Amino acid sequence: MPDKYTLKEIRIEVAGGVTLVADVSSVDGVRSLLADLANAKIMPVSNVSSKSDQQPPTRNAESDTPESRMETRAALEPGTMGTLNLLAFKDDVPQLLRPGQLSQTDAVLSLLFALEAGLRMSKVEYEWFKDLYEAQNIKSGSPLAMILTNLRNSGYLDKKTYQADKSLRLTAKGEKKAIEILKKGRGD
Amino acid sequence: MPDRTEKKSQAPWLVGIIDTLVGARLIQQSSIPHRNRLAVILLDSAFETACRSFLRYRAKIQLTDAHKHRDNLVKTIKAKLQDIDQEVWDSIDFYYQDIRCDFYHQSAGKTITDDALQNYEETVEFLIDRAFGISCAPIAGNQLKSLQQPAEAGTAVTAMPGTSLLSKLNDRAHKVLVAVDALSPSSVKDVNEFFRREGESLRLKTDEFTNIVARNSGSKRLFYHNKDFERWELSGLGRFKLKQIQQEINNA
Repeated sequence: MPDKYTLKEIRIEVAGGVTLVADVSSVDGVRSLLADLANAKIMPVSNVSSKSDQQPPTRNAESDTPESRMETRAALEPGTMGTLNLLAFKDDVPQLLRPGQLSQTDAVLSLLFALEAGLRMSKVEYEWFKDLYEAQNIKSGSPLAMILTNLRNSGYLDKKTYQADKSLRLTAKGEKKAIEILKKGRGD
Repeated sequence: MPDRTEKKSQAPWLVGIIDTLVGARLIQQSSIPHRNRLAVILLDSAFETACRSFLRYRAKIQLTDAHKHRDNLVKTIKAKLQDIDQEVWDSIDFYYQDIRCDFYHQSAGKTITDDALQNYEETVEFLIDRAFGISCAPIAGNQLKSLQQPAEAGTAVTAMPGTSLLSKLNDRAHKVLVAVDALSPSSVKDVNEFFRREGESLRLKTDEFTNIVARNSGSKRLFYHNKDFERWELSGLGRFKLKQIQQEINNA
């Protein structure tokens, strides 16, 4: 779309630490240049390097969203949360997009992970979380208090934090499980 | 804000059950040393009367002498509410057999921890919610709030704590969030009266209010219309959002 940008030059790093600079004014020009280089068996560095040498994509300040923070914490590629269609944020409120497809336990762990990783909450008061949980339309056969008790007893929630001020916080085991739930949604 | 007269629109068999839950909350908030023990007894009463009301008025079952026995009663309601986990019924049985009966008939000196009571209270409320398709905790909470804040004579709405928040908010939807939380309004008139009393200059037209609480996709999920009381109340998301806003302002 020529009205959106103007191509001026292209810089291509090739083997041996050499950077080629070429004047181009169109995508066709870029394509021709790459074809000519390929014919001359001169490959851009990114094509000749091994996969393990590649650096993970970096994020800038503009992409610092609750979703991106969750992706970073879970070591997921940028944009994964959007494709998972499992959980999203609206006005900094996390919402499960497919609550019927998660067990109650998985829903609780996913929401807590969203609050901790996405909204940077170190812990969440029980009453806050209850309001949030009950708004998710989760098909439940047990009350939230019972699920949380089971999660505490299983070591997914920090008992001390709950005893101290009735707040909820994932343990390392709980966070690992929450990440597994996200990755399971991705099909890993 | 719901009051006694508003209960006219609530199913009559629910009124006493909700009042029992309110009573249990009132006792929990008191300084009576054995308050948890008394609350257990009330909660068990709420559960058992709710079972009978559900079977009689919702499931349309003719209760017989056999249903006077707790076991038969629970067995019948369990068959009607099959999507409830067995763990929930086990918990109800435990609190009845091992705790409530002991408290009621045997040991006046015993009580239970706050955590255990909360678990039991939420289990009972969960069952009542599922049986009647209501959300009894916010209803009981609102009624308790109304009991604890005596109305000022000659005024439609009363000032509520936390409303100084209004002056710190710019977003209209957030201001409505505060108003709805404070007074559960029946109409925009209540909201505007609340704003006036709080020194807030914002006034909403009926359409503007309706847009915020019922039409705009960004804000309508924060509110719900309580048909029993014919009042607007905050949804779970709304309560969560309000707490978030309060925290942000406190941290600012």
